[in-house]
Amino acid sequence: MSIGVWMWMVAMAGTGSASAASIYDLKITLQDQSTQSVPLSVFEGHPVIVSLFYGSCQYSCPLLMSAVQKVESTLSPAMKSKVRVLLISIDPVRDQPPQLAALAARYKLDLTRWKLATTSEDNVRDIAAVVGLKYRKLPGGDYNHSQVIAVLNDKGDIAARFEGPNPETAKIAATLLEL
Amino acid sequence: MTIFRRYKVAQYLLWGLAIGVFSLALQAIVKKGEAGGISDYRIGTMAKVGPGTLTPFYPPSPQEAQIPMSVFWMDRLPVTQSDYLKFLTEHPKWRRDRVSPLFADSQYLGAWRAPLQLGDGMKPTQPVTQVSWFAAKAYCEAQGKRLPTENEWEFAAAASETAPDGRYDTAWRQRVLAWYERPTAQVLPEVGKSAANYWGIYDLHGLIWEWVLDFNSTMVSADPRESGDAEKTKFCGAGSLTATDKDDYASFMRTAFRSSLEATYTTRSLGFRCAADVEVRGAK
Repeated sequence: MSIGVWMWMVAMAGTGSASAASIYDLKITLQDQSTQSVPLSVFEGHPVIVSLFYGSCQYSCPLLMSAVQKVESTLSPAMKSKVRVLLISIDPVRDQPPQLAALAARYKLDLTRWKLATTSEDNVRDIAAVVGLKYRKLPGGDYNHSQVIAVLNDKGDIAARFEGPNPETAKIAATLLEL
Repeated sequence: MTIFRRYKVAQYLLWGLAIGVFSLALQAIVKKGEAGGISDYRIGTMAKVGPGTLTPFYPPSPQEAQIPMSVFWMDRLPVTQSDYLKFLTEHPKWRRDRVSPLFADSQYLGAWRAPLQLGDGMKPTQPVTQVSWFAAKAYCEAQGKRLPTENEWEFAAAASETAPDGRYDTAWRQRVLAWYERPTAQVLPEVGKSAANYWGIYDLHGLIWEWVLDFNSTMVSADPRESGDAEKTKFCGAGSLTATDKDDYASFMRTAFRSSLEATYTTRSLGFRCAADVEVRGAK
C-alpha cells in the first residue's frame, strides 16, 4: 500500500510542466546556426542568457553581443562553463543558419555554449511576448525594436530582465551567481 | 343536450390550449430574435473588410503614412462569455485553474465564479474580458482564425456607419470619443447592441478594448519631450513619431493603451475578436 503511494508520488513528480512559469512551456522548435533543430528548452538544466536580435542590425545588436561577452568575462571559469546563451533572430527571412554561422564566426562565439537560432515569425512573436520585447518590421526590412536580456534559471523561469541598449553587465552577472 | 354541451366545452378548452401554446411559441421566437439585436446565428460570423487604404495614426515610418489594405475577414462581434466558456470545455488547459502563469496573469477570468462558471450577474452574450493575449490567440486559433493585426483592427475601426473612413464625420467621431471619456461600465453591455459600421462590424467602439496580434509592435516612449537621441537609444531604428491627426484623440488613447500592454495582462475592459485571411464559417 505505502509502496503504491510512493510510486504514485514519484510518477506525479514527473508529469508536471518544467516549472510554474517556465518559458519552456512554449513548445517551440528553433533551428540553430549549424541547421540543427533544437527545442526552445535546449539549455534546460543550465542558467541561460536569452535575447533577441537580428543579423543586419547595425546599432544595438553589436552592443548586445559585447554586453553578453562582457558578462561572461566576469564569471569564474566554473560558472562560465555552466552558463548558456541563446540568441534568437527576429528576422527569420534574412537570418537563416548560414547568416547565423557567419555572425558566430565574426564574434568568435563559443558554440559549445552559445546558440544563434531562427524560427517562424509566429514563434518569434510568442518568444518576444514572453521575454517582453517590442519590435516592428520596417518597409526596408530593418526593425524598430527594444532591447531585452532575460536571465533564466535551470528550469526556464525568468529570474530577471534587463532593458535598454546598455544593460548593467555587473547586475546580469550577479543574477547568474544568485541562481 | 348535456353531452353536446360538454363536448363544446372541451372544444373551447382545446382551442384555448392550442392558442396559448402557439402564442408562447411565438413569444419565444420573437424573444430570441430580440436578444441583443443579434440572434445567435450571427455570433461568430465574419464580415468582409476592405480593400482600401489605412492612414495610421502613428505612421511607424515615413513610407507607411498610407498603408494599402487588402481584403480580410473579421468577426462581426467580439468574442462572448459563452463563446469562451465553450472553448474552455474543449481546451481545458486554458482554464484559469490550469493555465500556465507564463500565458496569463493572476486575474485571468478573475470575475468568474469558478473555472467553468460565469460570474454573478454575467450574461452569456457579454464580451469576454480578463483574458490575456496568449489566451485570446489560442481561442482564435481553435476556430481556425487568428487575432487581427493592429492595421486590420484600425482599418475596420476607421469606418463610421456609412463610410469606410469616418474621419470627417464629426458627429461620429464625437460619439467615439465620448466612450473614451467615460469610465468602464460596471456591468458590460451585451455585444451587438449598437449599430454596425460600414463593414457590418459591431462594437469596435463603445464596448471594450481589444487585443491585436502585433500588440508588441507599438513602441511609444513614456515622455514625448525626450530628446531625439534618447528615442534612438531606447528603440533601435526609431525616429520620432508624429501623430497624423492631432484631433484623433481616440486613436491616441488606443496607441497609448496598446503600448502599455504585456502578453499576460488581463483587464476587465480588454477583450478581443478574431480575424482571418479567408472567411471561416461554421459553429463555434
